[in-house]
Amino acid sequence: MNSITARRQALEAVSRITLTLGGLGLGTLGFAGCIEDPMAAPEATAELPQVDLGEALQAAADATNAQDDVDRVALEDVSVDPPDDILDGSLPDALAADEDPDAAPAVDASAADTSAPDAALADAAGACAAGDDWAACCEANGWDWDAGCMAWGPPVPPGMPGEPATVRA
Amino acid sequence: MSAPIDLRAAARARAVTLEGEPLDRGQALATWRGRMINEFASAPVFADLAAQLDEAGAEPTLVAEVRAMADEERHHGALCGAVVVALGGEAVAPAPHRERLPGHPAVDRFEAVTRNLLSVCCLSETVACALIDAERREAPAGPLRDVLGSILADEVGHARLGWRWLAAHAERLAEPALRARLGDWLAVAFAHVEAHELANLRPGATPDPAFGVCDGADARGLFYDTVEQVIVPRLTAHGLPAAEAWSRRGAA
Repeated sequence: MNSITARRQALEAVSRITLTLGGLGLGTLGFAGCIEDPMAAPEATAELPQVDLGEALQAAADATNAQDDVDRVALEDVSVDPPDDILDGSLPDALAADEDPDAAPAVDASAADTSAPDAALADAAGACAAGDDWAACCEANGWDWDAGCMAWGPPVPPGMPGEPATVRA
Repeated sequence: MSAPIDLRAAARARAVTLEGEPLDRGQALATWRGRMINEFASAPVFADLAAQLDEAGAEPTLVAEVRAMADEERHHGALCGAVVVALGGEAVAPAPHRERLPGHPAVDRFEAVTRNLLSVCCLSETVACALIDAERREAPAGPLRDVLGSILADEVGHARLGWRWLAAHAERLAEPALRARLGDWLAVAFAHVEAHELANLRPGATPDPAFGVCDGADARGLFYDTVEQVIVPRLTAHGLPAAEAWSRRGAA
């Protein structure tokens, strides 16, 4: 499958998973085991296992209305298209720097020497394991947290600007 | 000093065998090790979310479900580590510094956890589903595609947690002042997820779908499509001023 088709189908699939027909009671754990087609739309009956038909129909109607709203909003221009310099990568460091102005400039993975990354890492791990400051040591060894296309695990959300920044104990 | 992420034993237990040669082994290794780190290090996000849901009065079954998501992230880290090993690397890496989940003490517990669910589930994990699914669809049948499918199955649940929360609390979220405040939050959260994705999806690598190396430019395009064609419309359908928040994210 080519990338354009894959992207289109992924977009359609992710749209389905955001559509919720029921409450919080069921859905995630059972659904998570569906490896064959994890992006398939959940069955309404799986989301509404203990409601009477009237409630189910009302929920379906609400969902349909919600979908109509989605379709309507999707047709609106909610944003300008991302500029080419973002898509081609010539801008990201400036945006990344906005996130943490004290951060060191990110390294472009495409330009990094990856001829022996594991040897380098092993050296870094071995050297740093006995050190007093792991993070500083790894930084000195050139560990690049941002290399590659790996934006999976959710980042920690930010605090709300202007509010106390207390974190969970 | 943080202990390193050492998933060597866990990766061995989930051994993956890859066939063929990647176009750029170092690039593939860097990608999968980065994923190993990101997935494993994100487990505390769900552990904290579970605690916040408990504080907000969520059902114990939901709290337990979200606590299990932390284990899923650690399992994903081990799976990615197994790919690292299959590529000839070691499933060990320095642990990145991660802040704890913000407590948002200025607002009540429901609004606080709703903020974090919006950011983690409705934004980050929904985008992750699109990225992983596109990659899975491009990958040839085989062990790597199976790994992607296994991770994706859990990520779908993580994304849906947020959307289910919004649906379950529609009445409460209809309060105009709360909607407006969550709109302000969304502007901040959109700016944050955009910066994160752009930092992690870097054009320039040689795409190698058979070994999980995506095209950074394509992935960025999919990120924007997911936000603008799925997330913003769906949040809007839930009554949140998401389009306005997205348009003013740069000022947040």
